[in-house]
Amino acid sequence: MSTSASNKTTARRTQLFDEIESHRGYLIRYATAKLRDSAQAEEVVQEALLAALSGANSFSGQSTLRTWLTGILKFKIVDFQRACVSERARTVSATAEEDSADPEWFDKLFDETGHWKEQFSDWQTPDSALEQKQFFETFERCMDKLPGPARRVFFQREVMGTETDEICKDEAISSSNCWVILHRARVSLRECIDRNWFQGKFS
Amino acid sequence: MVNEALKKVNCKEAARLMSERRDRTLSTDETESLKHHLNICINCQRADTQLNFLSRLSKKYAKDVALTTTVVNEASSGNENGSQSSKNS
Repeated sequence: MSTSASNKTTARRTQLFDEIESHRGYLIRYATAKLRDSAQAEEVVQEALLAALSGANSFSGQSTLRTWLTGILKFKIVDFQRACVSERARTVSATAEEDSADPEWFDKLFDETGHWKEQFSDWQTPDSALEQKQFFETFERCMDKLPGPARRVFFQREVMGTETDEICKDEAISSSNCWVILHRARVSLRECIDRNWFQGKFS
Repeated sequence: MVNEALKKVNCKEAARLMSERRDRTLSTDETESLKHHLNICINCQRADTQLNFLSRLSKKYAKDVALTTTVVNEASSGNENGSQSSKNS
């Protein structure tokens, strides 16, 4: 190969590397939305970018660079979720408890006849809360308090609007397990938002 | 006419149905049981309204926050930490 041809190839590669790097911010936002964990998102994007760089020659240019990178990232996210699932499967006791009996905090919400122990308050003007930045921050804090699987499943279902079937596949759980996780997550979030926003507004 | 076969549910069961109908289609019996319970239980009516609100909130959050603004604040600092493969001689 002549020197000029090799220089040209190097220049092209450098340019492609820069272009790939310029999509990092977008990819991190994408991964954060999927994983709901900024540290994990960083890690997965890093892996995806490394994979993209080493496989840069296979970028055909038929799709946009961003689409191509997002495709790689999707695979990395699924890999990552699978790894989390098998990691969890190894900590059997925690998973088993989550599957069968209701956790203590959940049981405590009901009396022995299965009625709510607490009287719920009527949320006043909830729609005006939707216009307030602090309200979204409260929502985020409440989501962050959910246990990992519940946080991911809830985020996928309610925020991203993913179908439960797809979530079950990603998380390697049964549909009924998925429904139970979502149910507890919703109850927990309702309570957290009530306590940290709507109650606080009047006390 | 009262449906004799209608299964009465308590709040705990109604709450589960309230949530699950957002994720799957309930059977006719389940729908009837839930409807009956919601008619007589103000607490569950409120819970149901608030779950509806939670869904709307989540959608608005997706639109306004999660997918648009920079979610990761700390991530932008410490971006470059020299992740070149180590070529020790």
